[in-house]
Amino acid sequence: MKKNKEYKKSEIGKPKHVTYVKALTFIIPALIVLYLVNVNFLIPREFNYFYDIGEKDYLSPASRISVSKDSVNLTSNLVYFNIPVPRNSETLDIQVKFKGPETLVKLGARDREEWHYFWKTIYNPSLEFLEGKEISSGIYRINDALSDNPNEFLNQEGIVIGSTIPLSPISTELNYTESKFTINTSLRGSHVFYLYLKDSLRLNLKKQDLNWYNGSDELTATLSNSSGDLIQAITFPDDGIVAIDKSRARIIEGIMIQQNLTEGVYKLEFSDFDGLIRQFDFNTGKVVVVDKVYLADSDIFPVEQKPSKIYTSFSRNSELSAKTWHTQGLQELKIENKILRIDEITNASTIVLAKGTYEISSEKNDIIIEVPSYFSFTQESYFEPFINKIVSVNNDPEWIESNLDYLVLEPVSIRKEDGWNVASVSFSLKDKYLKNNELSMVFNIPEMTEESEFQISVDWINTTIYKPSIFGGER
Amino acid sequence: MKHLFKKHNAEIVNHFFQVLLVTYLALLLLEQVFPGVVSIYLNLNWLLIVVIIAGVLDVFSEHEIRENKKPGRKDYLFIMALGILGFLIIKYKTQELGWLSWIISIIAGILIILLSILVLEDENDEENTKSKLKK
Repeated sequence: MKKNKEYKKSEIGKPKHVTYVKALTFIIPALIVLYLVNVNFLIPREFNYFYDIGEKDYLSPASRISVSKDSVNLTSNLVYFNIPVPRNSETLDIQVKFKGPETLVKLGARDREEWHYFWKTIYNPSLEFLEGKEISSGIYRINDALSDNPNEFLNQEGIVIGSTIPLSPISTELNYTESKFTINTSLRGSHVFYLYLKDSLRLNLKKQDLNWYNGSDELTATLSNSSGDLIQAITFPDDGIVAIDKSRARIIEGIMIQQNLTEGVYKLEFSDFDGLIRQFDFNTGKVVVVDKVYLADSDIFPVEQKPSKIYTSFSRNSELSAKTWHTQGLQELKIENKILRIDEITNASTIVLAKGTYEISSEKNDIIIEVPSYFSFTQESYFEPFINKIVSVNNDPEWIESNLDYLVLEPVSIRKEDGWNVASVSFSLKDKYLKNNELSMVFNIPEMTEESEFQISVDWINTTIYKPSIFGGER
Repeated sequence: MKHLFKKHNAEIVNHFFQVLLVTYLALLLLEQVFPGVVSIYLNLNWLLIVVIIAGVLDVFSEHEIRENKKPGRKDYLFIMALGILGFLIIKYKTQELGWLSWIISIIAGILIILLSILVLEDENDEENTKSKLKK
C-alpha cells in the first residue's frame, strides 16, 4: 500500500503532458502490430518482384551464365534464382523475357527438401505444328483415328500419351507374388521405376560414386503412389570424396523400407548423381523402368565390362533411340534379330519398331536407350503399370507424330516482343518447398549440354505472388 | 557533462527509447521464429535506425536516480517465464536436430534463468553494499 501511494504521488506531481506523451508512444508498437496483422492475415495481397537480369546477380551459379550488356546468357543447363514468398501465398505468376535458338525451355519450382523440382514448359517450338490438334486446353490429339473427347482419352487402353505434367492414369491389376528380384546391371544417371507392390517395399541398393566432377554425390530415391503423391524420400550418402578422383571408389550399400502399402503400382524415382547404381534387390518381381535407361557396365567406368540384356514392349509402331557420349560406347546394338549401329557419339541412332516385345542386347554398354514405353531387366519382370502408356515428351515434331496418340502439355502463353519471347506461366505455391521464405526456381534447357554451343539470353523476370486473406475469397 | 534533455523531457526520451527497443526486439524475435512475417512488409533496419537515435539521445539525457528494491516474487516469476520462453523458441528453431534439440533448449532455458537470477541478486547486493558504505 505504501509503495502504491508513493507511485501515485510521483505521478500526480508530473505535468499532464508527460503522461499523455508517454501514453502516446505506445501507439507506435500498436500501429506496427495492427499493420502486420492486417497484411499477414486480413487483406489479400499481390507481391510483385521485377528482376532486371542485367542489373544484379540474380542468377546462379556464375559458371553457367555470361553477362552481356542488358541481359544474362544461360550457357549451361540448370541456372537458379530465388523468389521471396510470403507465408500462406497461393499462386505464383511468372513472366520471362528471353531469346535464343528454337529449343525447349522449362522452368522448375522446388517442391521437395531434396533436389526435386516441379517443371513447367515455358517455350516449346514443337507447339507450332500442333495447331488445330488441341481438343482441350493443353490436350492434343495426335492420332486422328482416336476420340476427340478430352474426358475419354485417359480411359482408352493400349494408347501412348506423352505428357509434361503429372496425370492420374488407371493402374493395371496383377496377381502380386512376393519374390526376391535382383537387378545387377549398372545404371548411370536418373531413372524412374514403376513397381507393383503389396504391403511393403524393401529395396537394397548398391551405389558407387564416379567422382568425375567436384562436389558430393548423394543419391535420392523417392517413392510415390501412381498419382504422384510422395510417400517416402531417402538419400544414400556420398562416399566422402568430393574432389575429382577417377580411381575406383568403394561401394556403398543402402536400404529403403516402406510398410503399409496397399496393393498397386508405385513410382520409384532415382535422382541424377555422379555415380552408378550397381545393384538393386527388390521384394517384388514386377519392376519396369520408364522411357530411358543408361546401361553402364562398360570399361569406361570403374566396373567390369559385361553384356547387358533388357526388354521392352510396344502397343503401336514406336521409335527406339540409342546414344553414347564416348567412343568406347560405339557398338552394334542387337534388337531381336535387328541391328542398330551406333557409329557416332552424341547423336542418337534410331530405329522404328513394330508392335511387339523386344529383347535388346548390348555388348559394350555405356549407352542411353530411349523408347516411348517401359524397360525391364528380365522377360518375367516386365509389366504394364497402366492401361495406357504415359511417357515423357521428346521435343521433336516427327517423334511426337510417330510415337504418340495424345500429347498433354501445361497451358502456357507466349508472345513476341522486339524479337524476344515473353512467356507467362503459373505455379501453385501450396505444395512447394520454401527455405527461409524463398522459393528456388531453375531454368532447364534439356538440349543444352556442356558440349553445346548455343545460349539463351534472359532480359528480365517478372513475378507476381498472390496471397489470399485468412477468410479466403477469389482473386 | 551537459545533458541534452532534463527532467520530464529526459523521462519522455527514456520512455520513448524503451518502447521502441522492446518493439524492435519483439519484431526481431517474431521474424526469427516465423521468417518473413515481418521482413516482407517492414524493413526492420529502418526501425533499428530510429532505436539507435533514440538510444543516443537517451544516453545524453539526465537520468533519475532509481530507488533500489529487493527482488520480489514477481521478478523471479518473470525470470522463470523468460527461461521457459527461451526454451520454447530454441526448441522450435532447433527441432531438426532431434534429441540434441531437447538438450540444447533445456540447457539454454536453465542458463537464461540462472544468469538472470545471478544478475538480479548481484545488482541488489551491489546496491546494499553501496548504501552500507554511505552510512
